Amino acid sequence: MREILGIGMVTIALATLFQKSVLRAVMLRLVLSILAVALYTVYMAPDVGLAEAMIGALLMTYVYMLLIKSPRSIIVGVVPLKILFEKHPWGFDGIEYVLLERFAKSHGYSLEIIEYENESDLLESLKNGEIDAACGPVHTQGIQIIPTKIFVLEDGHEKDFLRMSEEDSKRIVNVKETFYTILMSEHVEEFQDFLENLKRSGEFDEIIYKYAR
Amino acid sequence: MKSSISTHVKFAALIITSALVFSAVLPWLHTSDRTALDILKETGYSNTTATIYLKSRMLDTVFEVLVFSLVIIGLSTHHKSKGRYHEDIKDDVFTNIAKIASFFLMIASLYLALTGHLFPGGGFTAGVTGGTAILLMAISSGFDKFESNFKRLKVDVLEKILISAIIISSLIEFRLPSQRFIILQNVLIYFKVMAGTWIVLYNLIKYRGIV
Repeated sequence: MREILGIGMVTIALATLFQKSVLRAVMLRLVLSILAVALYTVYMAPDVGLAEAMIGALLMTYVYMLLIKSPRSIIVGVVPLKILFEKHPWGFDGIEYVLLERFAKSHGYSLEIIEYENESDLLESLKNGEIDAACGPVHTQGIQIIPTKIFVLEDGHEKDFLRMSEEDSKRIVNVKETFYTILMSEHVEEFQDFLENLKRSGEFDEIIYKYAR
Repeated sequence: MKSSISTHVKFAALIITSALVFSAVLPWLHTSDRTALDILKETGYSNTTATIYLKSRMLDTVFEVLVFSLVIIGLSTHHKSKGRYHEDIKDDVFTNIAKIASFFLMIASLYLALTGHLFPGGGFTAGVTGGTAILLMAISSGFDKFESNFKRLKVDVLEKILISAIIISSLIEFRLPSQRFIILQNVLIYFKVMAGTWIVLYNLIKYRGIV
């Protein structure tokens, strides 16, 4: 009995190490734990067996499942804006949305989109870690997407190019050149690599041309 | 939020100091030269494992509990941000079974703690069993209720009080050896481990969501 359990544990431990799918590896680790419980019981140590059953088989499996699942979604906060991140009755569209969606698809993430009323709420919740990325009227800091202009008005307010109205355009005092950006708190390097690949293959220009003619 | 982090740091400092003090007074505590076998004969409880780790190897147990406490402090200071929105599980069959299972697991954990000196079990195992019951409770009742229970019972404060109680009781036990102490310490460790597991689960579920 002891020999069978021992050989089984070694086999399953090796199988866990060389398993490609993470979920299967967690399940094999669970089997390893259960075999360990049996082994402890055979060796007359039911105390240790009980603790192993509770921690190894139940709690650890739960914690591993949480850890596998959690980075699998990117939560994007957005203030809808024409061309960059448009909201339609049938869903979202726009340059930044298409970029993020392709990124999510190629890296196996799922996108969750949360809408915000104004910029300050958006940036506040990015700072608090409620969202992973901020899109829409975000400029100057972050990963640069397309060039834009910021207009400083007479009363000291700043307005970006896509949100200018007819009336505002008469009161311009100063113009600053900058970029519309995506501010990300996680996956920053991955996304930059992804953007560089897109630019190299020419698909990036294609997307920009499609939306911002 | 800043203030709560500094209280955690203060408590970590307190734990380290108490560990140092504990090591310093150790020579004074070890006055008798009884072996483990003598202690086993004196107490006469049938679970020898529990007798050894709560009587002749109490020091190891105290430091193990301290390490567990430090891990919990690390986990709760690591998550500085606000919680995320997440959905609860809405499957009725699953949540009801989880509710019933959590009730029986809780009773089983209390039994394991109280009879730890006689049968297999003991404080740590019972505490983890109680923690599993709490996990099932979180799954069945939803996060809002879980969080309100956590805040109402002030579990994070409770855990710190319990660890102090364990250290003090073990210090008293060194000077005044008594048979009954083993039961008290099992129950104290039971509540301490359960509170610790509760804090760990609360932090994990709050920032990462129920599966």
